[in-house]
Amino acid sequence: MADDPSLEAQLIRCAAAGNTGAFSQLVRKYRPQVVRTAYGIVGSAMEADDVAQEAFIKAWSNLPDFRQQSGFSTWLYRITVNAAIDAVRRRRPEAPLDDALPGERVAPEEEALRRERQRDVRGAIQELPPAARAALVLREYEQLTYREIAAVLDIPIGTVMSRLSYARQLLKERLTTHDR
Amino acid sequence: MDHPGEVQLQRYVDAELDEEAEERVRSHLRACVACRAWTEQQICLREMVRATIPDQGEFASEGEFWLRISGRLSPRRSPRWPLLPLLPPVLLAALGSVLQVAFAVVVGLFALSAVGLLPAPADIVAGSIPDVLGHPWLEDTIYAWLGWPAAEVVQAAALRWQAMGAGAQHGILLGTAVMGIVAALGAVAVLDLTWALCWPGAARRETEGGN
Repeated sequence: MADDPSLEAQLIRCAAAGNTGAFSQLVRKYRPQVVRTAYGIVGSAMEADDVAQEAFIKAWSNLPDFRQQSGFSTWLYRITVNAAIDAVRRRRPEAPLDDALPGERVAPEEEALRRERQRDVRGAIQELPPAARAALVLREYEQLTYREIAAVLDIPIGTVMSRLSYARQLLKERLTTHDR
Repeated sequence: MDHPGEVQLQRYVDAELDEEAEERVRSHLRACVACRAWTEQQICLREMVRATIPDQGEFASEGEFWLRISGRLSPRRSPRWPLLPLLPPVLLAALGSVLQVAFAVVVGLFALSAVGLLPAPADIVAGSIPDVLGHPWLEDTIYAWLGWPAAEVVQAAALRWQAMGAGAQHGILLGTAVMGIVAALGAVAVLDLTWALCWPGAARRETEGGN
């Protein structure tokens, strides 16, 4: 689907009226960012798929009430973040996160070190409080601006900055501890 | 040397400063080793986080994803006013209120006529007998079919009304008004009771089905 706002608005109207074909096009366009965001917050590909499904099903149910005042992607990010944070809160403490990276094979030493580093960073991100984690994921995974993050999380820009600062500070401390 | 605050540096790293502020921070960084080190550390941290962005291949394929959710999309229902199932009791309650007001007005009018502030209803009826019973439509239809002359009907009715006396006239008028209103209130009560027995189940099913 091309990035044509009028076409997207038309698809949203059709989907709101019950057209699943139009909704499937919206899913196709937004699935990558939804699963990526969910993954950043829940830390597991399988769980991220589940969260993304829940987010799209919620979006389908609430589309008739969507007024297009906020952008569709902002609205969808908000649903995704809320669903992901709910999933994290519901999760049993022993639920495992993705440890091995898919497609991993015997790699040269440098590659192995890089992957180990990624695992450490992923683990450190998952240790962040959910609200700070959501702000960090929206900033670094989705590269949203402070204003966009504020709209998604429905918080003031000042709070976005303090959550990002807090998340980065914690991340730095945890990665420094891992390095020791 | 005036160092920019951490918030300012964070906004610089995130490219959230306006052009002028960004230039100010950039020139400060050229001169300040400590701030430059802090900024580089933040950029390094950012790159480490971004390096963990998953590849789309880690997730379910597009087709599989759609297959999983398409079966769970509930069909849309046609938009409908949400209070529609509750409309019958609301309308009946409104009608009942109107009838009660009418009852109070009738009693009030009779009370005012009794103390002489309004013309007596019996006189109003006596004055309107020629207009009502002598109406051309009655003359052309009912009287013509029965073979009655209209003038005689009007005269007979006026005489009968006068012969009754004031007490009977008021009794008939008040009794007719009160009985009419009470009968209408009774009909409202029966309809309301019928709704209470039959409709709520259907209305509940309707509401539950809509969610």
